[in-house]
Amino acid sequence: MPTVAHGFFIQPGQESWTNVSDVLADLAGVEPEWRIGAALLLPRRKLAFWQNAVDEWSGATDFILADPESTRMDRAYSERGLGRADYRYLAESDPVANPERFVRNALQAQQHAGATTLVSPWLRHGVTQTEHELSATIAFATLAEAMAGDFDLLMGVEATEGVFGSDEARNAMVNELIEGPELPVYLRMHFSAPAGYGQYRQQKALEGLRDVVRALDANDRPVVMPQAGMLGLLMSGFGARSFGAGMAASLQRNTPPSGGGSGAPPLPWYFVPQLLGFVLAEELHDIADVEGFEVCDCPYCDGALPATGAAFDRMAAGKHFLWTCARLAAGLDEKDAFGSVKRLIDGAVDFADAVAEDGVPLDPRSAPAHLTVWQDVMSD
Amino acid sequence: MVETVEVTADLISDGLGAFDELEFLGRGTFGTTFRALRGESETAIKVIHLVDMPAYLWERELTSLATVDHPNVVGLIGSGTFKALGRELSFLECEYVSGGSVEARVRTGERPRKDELRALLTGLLAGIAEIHDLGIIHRDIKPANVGLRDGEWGSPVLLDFGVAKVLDMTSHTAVGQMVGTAPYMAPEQLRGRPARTRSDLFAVGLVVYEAGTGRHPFRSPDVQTVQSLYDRITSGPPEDPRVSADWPDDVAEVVLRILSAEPHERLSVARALKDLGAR
Repeated sequence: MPTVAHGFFIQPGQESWTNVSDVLADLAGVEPEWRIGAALLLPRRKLAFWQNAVDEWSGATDFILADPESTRMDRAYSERGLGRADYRYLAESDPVANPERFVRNALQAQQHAGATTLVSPWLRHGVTQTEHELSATIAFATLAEAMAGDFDLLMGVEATEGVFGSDEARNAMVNELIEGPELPVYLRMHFSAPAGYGQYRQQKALEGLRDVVRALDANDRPVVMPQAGMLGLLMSGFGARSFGAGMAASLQRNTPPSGGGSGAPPLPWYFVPQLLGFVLAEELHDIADVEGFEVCDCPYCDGALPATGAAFDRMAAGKHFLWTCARLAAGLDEKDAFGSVKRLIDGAVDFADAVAEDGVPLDPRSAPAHLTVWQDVMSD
Repeated sequence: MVETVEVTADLISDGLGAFDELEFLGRGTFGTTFRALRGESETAIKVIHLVDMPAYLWERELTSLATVDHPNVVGLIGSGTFKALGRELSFLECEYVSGGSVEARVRTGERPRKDELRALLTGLLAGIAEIHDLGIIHRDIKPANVGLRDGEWGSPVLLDFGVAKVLDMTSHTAVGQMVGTAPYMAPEQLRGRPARTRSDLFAVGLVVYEAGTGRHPFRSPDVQTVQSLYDRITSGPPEDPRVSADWPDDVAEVVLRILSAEPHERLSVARALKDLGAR
């Protein structure tokens, strides 16, 4: 169960599963005490693919989730994922009209894939001006609770950043959720992909997310945050128990937002835990001279800075990011997660100041502009 | 405008047969209640005096309520309809709680002792926990709807179930209405949102606060309309009851928490009972 203690789960995306297998095996071998899981993004692959992956990963993980990504239900059938033909819930024409069949099939699909903890399907709240999707989400969770049997169950919930950023909409959502089944919440905040490379820093929405996580936790509904990356770490200070990220969150597949369309090569991003953000690999050599920097000792960095130029190893950088997420989650104090996160952010601000004072030139895309916003979010 | 009928003892006798005694107890928003004595059986009969209110509005909850056997929830003996004045009228027959209501006791100026106040709060919380587990929301908890078994403050009984659902079907809380129609509603109800379990919890807080201090926590000469009541509730917590009355700290703290304007900021029933050492 991903809510037992603070933990991290890997969410494989487009990369080869062997990369994920490597990281999971290394984590299990080197840091067996860390709480690690995996969350399949179910519709994106055929059932057999996920079953094989789970066979490989189950020995190295504390839990496995099979995220039903049920917001794909608002797309045409042909766009619901490569594995759509294998999962009957994705063929449902109207989940709200046929909730029992939809929920049963969504849970069965997760079980077939090998999930150890199930997630009730959901619709995205905030896309219409009604609470229709929220009501359906709660109804799905109520049905799922009755169907889950001996499986642990999370209640899937997703809302737009507009809902989180509005006091009235956010409170109304939380007030409805706490009237629903008393289940841990698998919570996503939906926002459009940012135009740049930095960490998420919309202050109003972040404060709203913080308030939601805190309110749900106070009402005995601990939160799990999929596809959250450092945002999940930030929210661990307010009650989130586990968060997920994949290689894609390490920016290794991002192309520059040049406006010139796709095709540009990805930039060599490297995650710097001291900044809780990414910098370009070539910048790291100057940053490494700043007091407070520590070279990463994960199996993929092995005490060395990443190579630059053509020698830059993107997969190693991605694995380093996943490993670092797991390390940061494992380092949270179970009794004072807020204090742990606050110390990390305050430390990152201090380190960013030191980088600036030392005159290290940073590309504007590497500047840790999120840190002061995150500090404000922590200050309330 | 909803049409009503005047319910009299004769009308009930015509519809339900003769009783040894029928004593008028009161006329509320949608029902008129009598104490009914037939042989050894003493019950309370409530006749819905709103005309053309379809019984399905409350039938499901009454079916669930009939299964409840809890000291803090009134026992439902039966329900049905009878013909009178050319119309079909719905009625409920419940256990008769003889000790009067919290409202009546507050009016006399009597206040519960510390131990009685704690028992009043834990009893009401246990009562709503029981009905909420069955998916029932009372929706209309107020001092007049809390009976005191044998007149004991520490033995509260939730009265007047089910029919309160009618409140959700009518425009009872339009902003601008006088506050007298809705002083015991939670702020979300005042805004026209449906009542939830935590709306009942808020109302329990109001009842206990009023029982323990003799006054409504949010009403004042400035609060005369639903809008002003809503504004007062959402502007901040009420005065700490310990300022003017001798309350146990844990009872005061639980009551202040369950009087929070936002439902998610109220303690859950289970947490409130735990904080009071009752679970």
